[in-house]
Amino acid sequence: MGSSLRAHILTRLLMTVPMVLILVTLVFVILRVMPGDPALAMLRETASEEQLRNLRHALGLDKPVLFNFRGSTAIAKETANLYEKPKTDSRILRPIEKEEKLRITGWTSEEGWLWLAATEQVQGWVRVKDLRIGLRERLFSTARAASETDIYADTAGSKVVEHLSAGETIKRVRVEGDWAEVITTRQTEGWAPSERFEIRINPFDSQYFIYLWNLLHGDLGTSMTQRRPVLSEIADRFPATVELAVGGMIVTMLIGVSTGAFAAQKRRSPLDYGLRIFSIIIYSVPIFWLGLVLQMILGVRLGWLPVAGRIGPEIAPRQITGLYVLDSLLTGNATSLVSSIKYLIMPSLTLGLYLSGIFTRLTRSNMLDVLRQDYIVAARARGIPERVVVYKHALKNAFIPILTMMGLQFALLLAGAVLTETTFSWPGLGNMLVRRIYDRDFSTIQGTIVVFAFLVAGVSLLVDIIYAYIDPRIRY
Amino acid sequence: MAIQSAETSLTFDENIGLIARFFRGAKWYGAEWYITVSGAVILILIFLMTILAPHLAPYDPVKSVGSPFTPPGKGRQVLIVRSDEETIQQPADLAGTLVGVRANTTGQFCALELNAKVKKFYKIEECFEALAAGQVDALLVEENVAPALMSAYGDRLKQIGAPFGPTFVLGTDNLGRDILSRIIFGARAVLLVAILSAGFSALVGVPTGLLSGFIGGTIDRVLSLIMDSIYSFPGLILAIAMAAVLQLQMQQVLKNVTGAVGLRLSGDQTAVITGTMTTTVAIAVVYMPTFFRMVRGQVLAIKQQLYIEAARSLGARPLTILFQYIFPNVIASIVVIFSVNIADAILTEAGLSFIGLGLPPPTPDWGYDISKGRQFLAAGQWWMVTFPGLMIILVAMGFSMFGEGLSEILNPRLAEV
Repeated sequence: MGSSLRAHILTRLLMTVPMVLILVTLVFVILRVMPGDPALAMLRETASEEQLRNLRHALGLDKPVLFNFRGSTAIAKETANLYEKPKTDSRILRPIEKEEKLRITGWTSEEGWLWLAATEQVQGWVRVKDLRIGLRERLFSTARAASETDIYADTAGSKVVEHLSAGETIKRVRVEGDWAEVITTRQTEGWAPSERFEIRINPFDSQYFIYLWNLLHGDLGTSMTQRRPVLSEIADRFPATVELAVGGMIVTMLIGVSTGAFAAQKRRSPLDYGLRIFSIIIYSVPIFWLGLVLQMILGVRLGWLPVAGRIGPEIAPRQITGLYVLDSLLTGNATSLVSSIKYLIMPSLTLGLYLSGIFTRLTRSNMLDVLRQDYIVAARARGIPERVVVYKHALKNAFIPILTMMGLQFALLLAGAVLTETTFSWPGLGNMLVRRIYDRDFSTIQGTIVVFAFLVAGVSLLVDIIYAYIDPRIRY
Repeated sequence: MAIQSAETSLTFDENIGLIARFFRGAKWYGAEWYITVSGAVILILIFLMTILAPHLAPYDPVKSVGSPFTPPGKGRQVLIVRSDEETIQQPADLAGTLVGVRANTTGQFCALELNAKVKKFYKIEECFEALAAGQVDALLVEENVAPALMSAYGDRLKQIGAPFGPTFVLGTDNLGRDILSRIIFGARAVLLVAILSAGFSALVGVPTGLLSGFIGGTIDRVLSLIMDSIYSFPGLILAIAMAAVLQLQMQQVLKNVTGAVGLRLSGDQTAVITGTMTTTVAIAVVYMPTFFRMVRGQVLAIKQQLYIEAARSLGARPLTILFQYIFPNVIASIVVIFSVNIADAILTEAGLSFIGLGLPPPTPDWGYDISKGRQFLAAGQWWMVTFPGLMIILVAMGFSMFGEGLSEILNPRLAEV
């Protein structure tokens, strides 16, 4: 049995790969291939040609979209110079030695000239106190120079290799006591005459494949407005979204499953029709409006619950998981627990009510299927009270399909969460997405949507696996 | 449900009037008939409202016509004069006199209508002081603020006649625009975008679904995989992403297109067309897979039928089979999906315009009006949020009731899918 389950999980995992690939490609197509210029959109119409070029270069938008036949690396056939402009009388940036390998970055090549980047990585030692290594940054083994300092060849500080200016990002760090070994990624870029180079073509050195490659490494790019990795931006907000989603799911289960079971039990009664109309109405209610009405009644009129935010201003618990309710429980902080639950109720109620319409209907039809089964008839025949039959025998068995539905409705939950977060100023992913749209921060928009795609694929995988665990018939 | 009521009653009688047959449907189909018909009634009313908007709307939806934040049903004016005033006995006497009002309020619009000269003040208290000091001949103030301020002056001021002037049934917004008019005109934007986008989705989804299901093989597998991926993605988030990008790029596209055709558009027109196109395309892409999946599934099922086999054995060409034998059988389902889809599209459009990705202001748009009204919710001004939201519910409900009821009537099993 165990091996067939493992085989099922493995097949399912393999099936997830093309799905994720297509979703990720879809995001790429939407954000990059659409007509128009993202760089122009980000900088607005007043930007100069120089600024546009710089931004396009920084974002890698000057590379070919799908395949690169322009050439990606160049090896010097003889010594050459790297010039500032495509003219021999311009400033020489750096001499190039024979056989030295340089990268052709996406910049347009002028007649007989190439825009090249020397990929030099400076390696050496720095005092740890001069670095700022954040917890999240240590995850990617990157750091930032806290102050102006020098990179030394060894820990004795004998020879200066390179000068490091304050705030500069360092690519790799290895801490050893008071010293850290660092590798910077300083690159010199400039023009060089093309006839002196042997050009290597790498078709995958294109926007699309670099995007995929970066995703594979968990690199979602750098936020242009926040000047920090998109992934850490997302990691900061993710717990809030999870907390809201869990809260919403709990409300949905409570309302949707109970009303659905109730409707199935009282089939064709006025109550059944009433619940059906409820589910049609609730499905037609814009979720943000539902949230605003709740705010209006529970928040403004009655003053029972706070209108917006995630927790009272002064009482955030010590962060462990990032889920405030859970953190409060773990740290035993009663004030923050009460506060975080109070703030959580209304958004969860909004999200839960919105989804409950569908759940009422799905639970009802599943329950009706189950209630038609022989063992239910048998249970009734044995004189077991109807209530016990419906809520114990039937509901338990109707739960497996309900679980699957939860997986299917997860996309709807995420979409609802985006609007709920916006309505309640809940500091989650959706709220961030909307804010970054105003800022025209494309890297963050792209990163967030990719994360949503991964979430959807991941949850559907997870639900399938759980399903296979519960119901042995699934493992084929 | 349909089957059961059919068993219990009715023999079918052909010699019966169209109208009688329509109402007999209630018995025949039971609850589904009522759902469909009430959906249809809502839709007819909404469409009438859209067409007759200029006649129904009491005011211009984009112009300030009264005091900002007038509550629903309020807005009537009280004429106040000094107690020793003799000449002004009724509102019509105001012509030519100097009337004190607060700037940009219903009072100002009223006074201008009555051909009075207007002296504007920023605070309502200043108006009363000016009247008491004899700087103006009369005051026009809102009925709900008048009594409290009058009492401070004792019997030095008096009110003439009953309150008069316009009332705003659903109140006014923060810019003094009539909410009722905005709601009536707002239906145009919402319906246009929703129907256009559902049309675009069908235009892409139906043919691809037909071909994919009919041809099968690798094409089918690839198309299905792509469509299923889009389908699995949270629709609204996809629409947000697309709208965010398109919004910025559609302008460039539009400029190129109009430039090529030689058409000249004003800035406002460009903004409205860009906004409409953006939301339409964004929503259309999101709902393409719905049509594709449904049509493909139906084609796969119909392909197995005997009459297709028969047609093929008689030598009918594949295209003939597809368009003459399969397609007509799918049309009913397309109508159903189309209707349900418009309901979804309306909600998505509202969501997009709520977060500011819809039509550009001042165009009346329900989602946008809600997002504006939201800022004033904490101050207790609930009417800016409530009424546009109710309209969205009503329209979305109309389409989904019509679609779902119809689907149960046409094919009792479709609703389970």
